[in-house]
Amino acid sequence: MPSTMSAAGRIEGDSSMADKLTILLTDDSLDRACVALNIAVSAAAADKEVTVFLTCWSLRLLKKPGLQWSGDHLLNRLINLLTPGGPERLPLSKFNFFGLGAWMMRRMMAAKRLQSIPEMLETARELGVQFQVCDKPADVFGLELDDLSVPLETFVGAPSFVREALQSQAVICL
Amino acid sequence: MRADAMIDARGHKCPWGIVEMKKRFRTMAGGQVIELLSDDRVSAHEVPIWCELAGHTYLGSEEAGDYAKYYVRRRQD
Repeated sequence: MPSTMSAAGRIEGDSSMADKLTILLTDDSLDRACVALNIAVSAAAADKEVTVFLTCWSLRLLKKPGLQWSGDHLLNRLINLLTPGGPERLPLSKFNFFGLGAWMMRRMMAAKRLQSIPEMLETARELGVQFQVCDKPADVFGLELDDLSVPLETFVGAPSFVREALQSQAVICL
Repeated sequence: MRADAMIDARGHKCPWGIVEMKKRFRTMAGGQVIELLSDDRVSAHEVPIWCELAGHTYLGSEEAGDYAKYYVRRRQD
């Protein structure tokens, strides 16, 4: 049975059983990506098995940097062009102001010596965090595995998330 | 307190310090001790929790002016 997070932030239940954590990320915002990666890195640093399942807009986190005109249809090519990839281009979920808010947030994070999104991604991979990317949004956006900055063997479907979630002691949805 | 390795995490925020301890413990034997220097205000709370989660032993801390020293003994594999 999955553990629940209390207001104090402690994992309740038998901590010795808490060996696997799954994080579901659906949003492409800088703030939620920070939260997801921070939790993933912290859990992996405590020797927990961690899977980050990315679907919907969150695929943008793993898209290669820069503008992309990829896709098999004019509409998904346009969406790819309007959602430039790379962790340095993610917007804020609030107060983005056409990118000014996200730029300010990155400046403040750097001033406080917080890890940037690319650094957290690198740390997560180094610690063995597994990334799974849902095939449906990848197909809708016209993305191929080569369009991602993280090497993956395959895209996956919703059953993969269900299996990861049922095997986990805690699931976090962002 | 005597330590086998030291990590200077001053100026860094959580979880940088515990990530560095995790990496360093890969090269250390069970029972060896790391001294973590940190001025992050959540370290006193988070380092013991990380030890609890990872199975390491939190040995305590010492104040050292504007930072603190935290001592962690690596678990036996």
